[in-house]
Amino acid sequence: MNYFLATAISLIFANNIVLFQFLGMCPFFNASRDIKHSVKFGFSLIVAIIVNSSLCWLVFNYLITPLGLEYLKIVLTLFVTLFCLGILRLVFGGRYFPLLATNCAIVGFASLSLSSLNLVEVMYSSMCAGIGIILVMLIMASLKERLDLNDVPNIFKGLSIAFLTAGMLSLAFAIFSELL
Amino acid sequence: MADKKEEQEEKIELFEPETQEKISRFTGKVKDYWQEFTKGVFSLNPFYVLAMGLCPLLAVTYSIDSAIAISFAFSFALIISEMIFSIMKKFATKEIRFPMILLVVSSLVALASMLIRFYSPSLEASLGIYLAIIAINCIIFSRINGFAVRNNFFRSILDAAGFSIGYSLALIAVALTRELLGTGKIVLFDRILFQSAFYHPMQIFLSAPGAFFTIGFAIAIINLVILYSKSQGRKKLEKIALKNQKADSQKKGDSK
Repeated sequence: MNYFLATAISLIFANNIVLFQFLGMCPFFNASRDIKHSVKFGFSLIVAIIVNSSLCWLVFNYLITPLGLEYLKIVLTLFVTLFCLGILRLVFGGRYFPLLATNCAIVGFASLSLSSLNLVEVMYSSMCAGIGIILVMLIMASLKERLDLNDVPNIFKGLSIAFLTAGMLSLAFAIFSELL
Repeated sequence: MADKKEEQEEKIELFEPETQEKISRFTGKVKDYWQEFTKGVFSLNPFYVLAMGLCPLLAVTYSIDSAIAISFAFSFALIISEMIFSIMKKFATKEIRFPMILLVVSSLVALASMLIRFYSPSLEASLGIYLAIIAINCIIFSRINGFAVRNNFFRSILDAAGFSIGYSLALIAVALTRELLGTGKIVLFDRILFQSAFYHPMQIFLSAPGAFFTIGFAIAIINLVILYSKSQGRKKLEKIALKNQKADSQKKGDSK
């Protein structure tokens, strides 16, 4: 029980995938103003992360390591991601799955979880990572709405103020590392 | 007034019209190629204009060694893959293009990471997955898909070189500021280049929030430069417009 709680707090708050490990920046900064769109994107992202991480871990540990082909890690992760997203698109039929192919979050997290010990750990941690991404994306979308209404100086308009806001957000989330 | 008009009509030609044409075509080509090259540095800078591929900018700029390693790997992957895809245009049909790009770029990134591991294994271990993330960098994909598959070999090399120089400059600039402010000294491959004693190092710049703040302010400074140059350009245009108005009114006065 302790372990699950600790992983959840770590991946959602203290070592958030977007704010502290810097994976999945592109949808974070181009977060659309429409919250429904962000929620749909987030759901497809979380499903993709779970399935992809599990598949990558399985293939790596039961196919690649017995054959001693560990240097193929990068190539393997990418191709399993491609395969996985294709299958998800067939099964669920969304328009977000092909977009996620070049998303750092999915591929990066799959690479990170290749060294985990068992499948349950991989699935649970990828679910927590996905929840972390969705949380931060929603917060960022609503913050951007407020920023549009405020009087931002000309120099800071656009990407600059988005970065500074994200910095404030990461400072706020860093307090959770004291809990662990 | 009549003398000035005569001077304007007598143009001294250094070359014959044929060679003049060749020279103007050559200078036109040079300007065109130079524009292709600097497009990646200024007008289409991947971080500041296109806002693509931001992961390494934040993740890797805590020290200059890491920034240099990542920019080397990125340039390696971009230049060679653009060369390959500009040659193999006919094989890269739309259906097969995406997996093909993935295969080529990931193999090149694996090769680059092996090169970095040969040079210094601790550096490659500290970079971790950010070296592997280059394989799905949006910039490489968009450059190959949008440029290399449609243009010839020389232009692709120029484009790739321009983009890799722009990328490296941005990474190294941010890494310099973060390392200077965060540790008070610049250390390049175990050699201390610069050590400042003026201030106590601020550790926030080495951490995640500091990365966001540094880049936010860097973009703001670049916006300042752009807006200032735009306002200067506008002032110049206004001056020229005023001059033309005066000249027109003088001509009307003369004719009247």
